[in-house]
Amino acid sequence: MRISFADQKDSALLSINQNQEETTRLSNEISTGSKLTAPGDDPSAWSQSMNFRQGLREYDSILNNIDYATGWNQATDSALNGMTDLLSQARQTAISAQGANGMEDPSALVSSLDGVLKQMVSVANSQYGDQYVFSGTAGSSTPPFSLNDTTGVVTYSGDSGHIGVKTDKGSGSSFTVNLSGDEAFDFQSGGQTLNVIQEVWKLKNAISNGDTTTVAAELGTLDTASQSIGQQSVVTGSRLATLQNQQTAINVLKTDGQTRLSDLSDADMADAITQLQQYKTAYQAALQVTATMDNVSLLNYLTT
Amino acid sequence: MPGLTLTLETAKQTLLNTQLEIQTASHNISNAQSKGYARQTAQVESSPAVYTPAGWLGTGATVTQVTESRDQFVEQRLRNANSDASQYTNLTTELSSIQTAFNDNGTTGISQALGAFWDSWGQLVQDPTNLSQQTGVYQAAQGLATTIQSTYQRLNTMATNDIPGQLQDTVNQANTLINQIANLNTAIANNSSTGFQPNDLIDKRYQALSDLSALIPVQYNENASGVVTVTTTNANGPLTIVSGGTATPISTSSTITGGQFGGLTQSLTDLTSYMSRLNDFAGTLITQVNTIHTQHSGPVVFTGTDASTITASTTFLNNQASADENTRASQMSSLQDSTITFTDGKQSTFTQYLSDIQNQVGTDSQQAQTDESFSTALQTQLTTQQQSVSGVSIDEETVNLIQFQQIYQAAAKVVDIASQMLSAVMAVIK
Repeated sequence: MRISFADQKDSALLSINQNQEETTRLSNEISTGSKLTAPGDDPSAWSQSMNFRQGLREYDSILNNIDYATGWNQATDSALNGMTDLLSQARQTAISAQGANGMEDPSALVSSLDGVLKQMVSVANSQYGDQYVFSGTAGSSTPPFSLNDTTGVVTYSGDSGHIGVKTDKGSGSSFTVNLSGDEAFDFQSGGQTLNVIQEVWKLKNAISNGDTTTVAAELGTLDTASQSIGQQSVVTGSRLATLQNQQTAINVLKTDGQTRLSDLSDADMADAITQLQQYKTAYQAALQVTATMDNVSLLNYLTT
Repeated sequence: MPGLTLTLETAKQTLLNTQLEIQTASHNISNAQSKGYARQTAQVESSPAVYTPAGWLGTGATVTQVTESRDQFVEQRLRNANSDASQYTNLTTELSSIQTAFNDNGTTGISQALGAFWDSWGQLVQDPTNLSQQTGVYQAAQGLATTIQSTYQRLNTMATNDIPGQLQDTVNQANTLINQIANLNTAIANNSSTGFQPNDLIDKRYQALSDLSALIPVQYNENASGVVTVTTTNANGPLTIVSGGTATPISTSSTITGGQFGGLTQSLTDLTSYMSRLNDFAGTLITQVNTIHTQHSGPVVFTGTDASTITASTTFLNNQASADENTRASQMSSLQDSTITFTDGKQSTFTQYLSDIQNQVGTDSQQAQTDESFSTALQTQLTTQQQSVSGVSIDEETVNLIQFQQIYQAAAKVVDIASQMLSAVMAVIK
């Protein structure tokens, strides 16, 4: 077979170019750490890795929601605990008022209960971040609970709505984060809906008026109130436990997603470096051959 | 009467023959680097013998014709390979630009903006009346709309400007070559009537055919007088573009299915289908998002109908201090995991739809790359074959030159001896 002058040059150039192209591709793969640079490299791996990347983003968003819901429920839990403590203080005061010596120095008891009431309103208006924990979804900028100290009327400006956040992948229902103000601090007693703060005010009023019958009745009502808050505490506790489980599950899924993404798109360094070495050798060989062949011609051996 | 005069005459003819042969070798060497050139050979034949009392006596040789070496079969296959290689190389290049224009690996481009959009709703759920979260959603919606629009715009520029421009250039070049081939046909027909092959005009025509085959598919038939009829292939079958001296130009609206022209039209078809899918994506996104957000008298999030018109609505920013926002934002956050029926009938989540577009682009591009590397390898192999028949080997020409030189020297020696013998005869006469 005759090898023409023009073709000899071209085929030398072709193999040099091919080797150069491969070494460039491999060194790019090694330096970026990714074997996918365009969808055409591996269409199915590319589109799968896109889905995994979006999945990982969503897991991060869900973990953020779980953190938020956990923080909120912890704030709720400590507010409920605070309320329980204040209720037991109010009960202690009521018991003191019922002492064997009759009502002694009601003004001291009243001022103690005034302090309790103030703290109760403050606890009911607890905030998480800049949001009121017990305002439902009303999201107002003013505190949801207020007490009219003259009439004893407790006004709730929030609503009974629930904040739902996404704490799981999937299009299912959202996770309820909050207790609304009425859920937390209203309770049923004797067929009536009563408010915890209002009942303490009634106690204070009775002590102030020396009305021992009412004081005795309020003592019972406050017990029921305490139980009701205890139940809400259980709800919050179980929510916290659920969130903990979901966080663990999402973290496992996230790690799994990262591993699979890495399998799909990360460069196999050992393989890439070995291949690069091979192409480099081939490249050098091609250059060497071209340089050698350039000097080979019959003309070099002819003397005139 | 043959004698020393005939010997001198024969030697003179040999000297002239070798000069022609050396000139042909020199011409070959001059064109050694040109791939369109076909190696020429001076054909030497014995001259007619004369009858003498001793019998038929040879009278040397003459150069009858300078021919060129071509294998028509290899040439035609090489033209076809040129068309294929050029078609897939162009398609690969265009698809690679399209991939770059999308710039979407799941954390860049539209996917990134879409992710930020879903995340912003996740934030809004936590605190629906917080102004900074609301602004965050608006900005994410605006970012998404802008990214979709600019991606679409980049693709649209390619579809309406870049590729049609290249197509026009291809058509102009092809028409120039078609005219050139028709003109060369006329020139070759005129010259062939002298009885000798006009090798260099034929070379030019082969080169033009070769160049044309990169632009559009080319088949040709050569008739007895050396004139070629050139046809290309379009949707309706063969189409004659050169017949004798008549050229039929092509236009950008031709349905030619190969070569650079075919590669460009195919990339345009592919691009149009990606753009239509992007429109389906944007249209469905607008509808789904607005449907959720207009519940409980909420404002729309997006205005527009497709990828070129999608815009974040400003009424959304100023009008959402409502307790229903939590419900809406929560549903919106869940929309990312919902399987949606898109306007093209495909059922998937938004994320999957985007990755499916990329999968389509990638698969088309991968196929084009495979076709390109196959057709380029075939082209290389056929070029080697063609060059093996028609190409110039310097070594071969050098060996031929030595041969011609020795024949020349031998003929000169014959002249020298014959001349000495004639001198001897002259001396006797004196």
